[in-house]
Amino acid sequence: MRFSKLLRKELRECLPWMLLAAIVFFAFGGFFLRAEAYFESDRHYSRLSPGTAVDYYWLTYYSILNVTGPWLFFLSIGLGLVLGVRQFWIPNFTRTWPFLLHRSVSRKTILAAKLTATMIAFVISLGPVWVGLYWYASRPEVFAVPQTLRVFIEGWIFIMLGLVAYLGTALSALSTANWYTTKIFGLLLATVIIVTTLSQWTLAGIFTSIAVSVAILLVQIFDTFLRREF
Amino acid sequence: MNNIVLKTKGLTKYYGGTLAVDHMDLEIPRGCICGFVGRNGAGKTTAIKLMLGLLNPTAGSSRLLGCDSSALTPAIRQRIGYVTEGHRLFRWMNIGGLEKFQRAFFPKQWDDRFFADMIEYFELSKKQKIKHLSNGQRAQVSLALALAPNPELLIMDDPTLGLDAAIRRQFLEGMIELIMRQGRTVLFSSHILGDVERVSDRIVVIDKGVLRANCSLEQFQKAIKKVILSFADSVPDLVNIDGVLHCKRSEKQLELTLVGTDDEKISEWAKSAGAENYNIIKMNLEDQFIEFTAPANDRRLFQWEER
Amino acid sequence: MKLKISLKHIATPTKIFMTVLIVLLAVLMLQGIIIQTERMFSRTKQFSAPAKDKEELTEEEKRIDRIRSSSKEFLPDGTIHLVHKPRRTPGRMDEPEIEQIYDANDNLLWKGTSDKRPYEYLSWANQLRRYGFTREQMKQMQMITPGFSRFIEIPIGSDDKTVQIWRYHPGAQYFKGYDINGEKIGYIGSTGFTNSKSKAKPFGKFRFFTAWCPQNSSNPILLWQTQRRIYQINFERQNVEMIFESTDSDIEIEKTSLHAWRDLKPGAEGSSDSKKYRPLLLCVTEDGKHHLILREPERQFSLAVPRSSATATKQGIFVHCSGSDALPPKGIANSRELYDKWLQERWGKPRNFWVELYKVDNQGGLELLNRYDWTLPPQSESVVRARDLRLAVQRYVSQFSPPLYDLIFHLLGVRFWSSAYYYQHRGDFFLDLIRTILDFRPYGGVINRVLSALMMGFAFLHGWPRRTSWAGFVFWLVFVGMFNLAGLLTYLALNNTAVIRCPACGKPRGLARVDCVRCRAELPAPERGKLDLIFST
Repeated sequence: MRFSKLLRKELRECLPWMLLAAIVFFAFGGFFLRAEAYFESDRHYSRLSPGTAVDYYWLTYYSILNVTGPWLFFLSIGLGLVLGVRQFWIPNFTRTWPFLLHRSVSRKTILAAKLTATMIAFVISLGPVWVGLYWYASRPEVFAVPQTLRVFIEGWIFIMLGLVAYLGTALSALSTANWYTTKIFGLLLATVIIVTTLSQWTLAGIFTSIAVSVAILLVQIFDTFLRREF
Repeated sequence: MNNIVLKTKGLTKYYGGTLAVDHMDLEIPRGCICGFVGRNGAGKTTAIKLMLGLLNPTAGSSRLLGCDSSALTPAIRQRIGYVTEGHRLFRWMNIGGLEKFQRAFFPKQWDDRFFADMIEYFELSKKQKIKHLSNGQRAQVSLALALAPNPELLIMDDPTLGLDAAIRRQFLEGMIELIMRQGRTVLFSSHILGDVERVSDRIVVIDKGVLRANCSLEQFQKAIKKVILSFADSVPDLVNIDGVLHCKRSEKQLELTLVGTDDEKISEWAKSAGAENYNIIKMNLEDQFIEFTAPANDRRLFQWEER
Repeated sequence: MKLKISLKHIATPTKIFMTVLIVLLAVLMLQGIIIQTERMFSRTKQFSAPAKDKEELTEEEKRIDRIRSSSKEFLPDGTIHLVHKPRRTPGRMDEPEIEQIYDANDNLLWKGTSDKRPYEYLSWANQLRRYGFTREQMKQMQMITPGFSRFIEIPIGSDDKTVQIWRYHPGAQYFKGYDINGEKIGYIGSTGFTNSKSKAKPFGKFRFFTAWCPQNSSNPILLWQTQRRIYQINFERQNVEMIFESTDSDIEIEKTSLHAWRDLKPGAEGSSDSKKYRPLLLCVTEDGKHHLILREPERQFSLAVPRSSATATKQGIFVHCSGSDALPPKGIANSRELYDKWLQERWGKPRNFWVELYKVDNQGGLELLNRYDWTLPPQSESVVRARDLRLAVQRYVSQFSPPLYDLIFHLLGVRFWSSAYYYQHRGDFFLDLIRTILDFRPYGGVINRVLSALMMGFAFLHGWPRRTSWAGFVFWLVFVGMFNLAGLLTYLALNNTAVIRCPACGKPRGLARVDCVRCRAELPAPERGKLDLIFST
């Protein structure tokens, strides 16, 4: 009951941003995907001439992530940053931490509610839109060659990177250090993790780097939150 | 049931290299209204946050309702109401939403009728959003939220900050409503000594992080006195009466602030010093507090003679 | 409470890890910025120095410059000519490009435009880098950023329409075909076309491919190179032919060359005169052998030659080798110490170059037809100085790197790092990162050790009044020693707690523990004022 109350409160705070992210992704991702599908039919042929060497460029084709991926990636990161600010920075400025923390629940429950709300926010805002766009792109009348499962998974990886950005923002917000020392290290670590993940080329490597980084960030967030002074 | 609701022992807090609270030993008995006063930066808010486990002490300990403050269990927190400094609430919620939120944490204790009555009394509506409320209205909501669960111990950090006299009066009346219930204890910090004088039966004074007074209001008020002695000739050089806190000399007058000196001793000394007459000035709590926490005896704030 | 305690034991190491990682990256960036700034300035100096005008050169200098810039061409009989193209007059693009042909004795044989050249030189197999697709590019395609997430898709068309699309699956290592309506056609693997997924055999670990369209079709043919094999894949005919297989060692990437192999239009870039030349494919394996695969008729030769190219006319098979003592010997480039030493020995000495032409007989034996040697003077002093300065800056900047880099290097061994530097691993993120880090290895420098000791000393003085336990204190000292500047910064970031003067002994003491580390006195309670009104309850 208490956890669900906290969760509902956190979800309500996330709601405007979730809706905004979902709408923007649906609108722009959908528009550019539709445009890509429109030009699908003439992309494959006509550029190869008999009796000539073929530049490999003409034999490589982008997945739908080329048009939807930037939107998904930046919206996910943006949503992570915004939710991190909303849940952890803003209470610093509005000084509502004492009101929130003086509850008949433990601090870890309060923190767990925030983290759970954010995970739900990501899944239900960007997730369904991505699933919908992928389903649409997988239809044979849209693109001749079906999208691979890997593309679908990669979309979810972008969503997970948004969570990483959120955790980094949360850790920075909870840090009591000065700006010019280690306060922004949470954000910096999240940036390093995102860059590292984007540089990997195997799914195992990607999931490993996300899992390790999320574990590191979560442990630190929990420890900082439980011991922090407000 | 333990008679002491709050006990601190050697409670110390440093912010960096700055000492905020210095070895505070404090006991608050059950069933009292305790005013927690001190000058700006004395350490009141720090002490309250230490008691509630929002800050970690550098040394010493604090126990609230028998539980260590740094490890207050949810069950103990359920018995404590807390009104935060500045009445910081979730601005996007309305009063009704806040009520539902707060009630979820006090399922068995929450008094719906009491909350509704208080909101009605303060002429508020549950549909009003917190961000649209004035400071005073927010204070009222904050008090209602803290009182509705019927807490055993109510801790308020400067609850009347920024409120006008009328709202303050209402706020205090709400508090009196609470104390009429049995066994409730209130600890509140305030800069407005009139409010403290009005409702408290116990006073705690903290000055530069050090506990200076922890006694009943009556004891405090009885102990601090201001005496003006008039002399025909010059004022005596030696002021050897017990309990001199401050001493102000003019040509033929001597103004003494005394602590713990009874009227008989004052009378005896006045005679022995050769005073023509003496007058014990009636002081309110604010005057007494100012005198009690003023700087050392030989510092002169205003030099009337030179003007 | 239990959760707090157990979390603390995990959170502290993760916090140290996170902080030191970021600080190390920051130090690395700073080192990189310093080195790049130095390079930028020294390059600016080099380019801003006035180049010696042509008219100021002596005859000998002109001769050496001409030899250096000439292409060395061979006639089928082995004769070598130096083909020199003097620079046009600045601003006169309307001037025709003249070439001058000299013999090995520096005699001018002919002068004119290249279309009127009276000699037909041997043309050689070209490396296919420009039209090739490498393993690193394949890896990049599988990265998840949108700009990289791509597929290899081969379109097969008919009457200007695409009718089939063959997509390569990197995991399964075969092609899967679809018609334009999205219906699956089948699979193309190492054994050819099949309808069944289970029968589709993988090609093997991808290394390189190149593609061309034959003269009679717009549908591409691929030359597909794996670790040990080269295939030719014709998607239009759904046919796979294994051209070459190396049993002993891997095929080197990007050193595959072709000559007259592809059925290109005459005049198209990369085309060869098919009437004069036989189709030839040259690939190099890691054991240094050069393998010639010929057609018309089919022959294969394996030759042990240094850097070379090959060609095959109707009359004979030729191999062209070149070399110089100005290039570091194989293996030295992997070790900075050895490379620096070699470089120091080389500087100031003339540089010798040579080219050789061999004819390959039917048994694969080599007959040297001709060799041409030439010598260039040593690098100019400014280049030497710039190089010395660059090395010096890098050496000094590296002294702030952690000694831990040296320890890891020695633990993993030179062989491990040699393979990490090997060309074929470029583009791998972690190996690139490790290479970058090793470029800043301190190499056991004295300055590095002294700096570490100084930083440890500072950490000792800083940490002594603040210590809460001996284990923690010693850990941080060792940490600072191992990580040098990054270690000290990390230590200060995580341990810069306030100190106060102990009221008992007057010395600095931290507040993390109740008692003073020196005199063990606890913080004293303030004196109770005589006039305080404290009454017990």
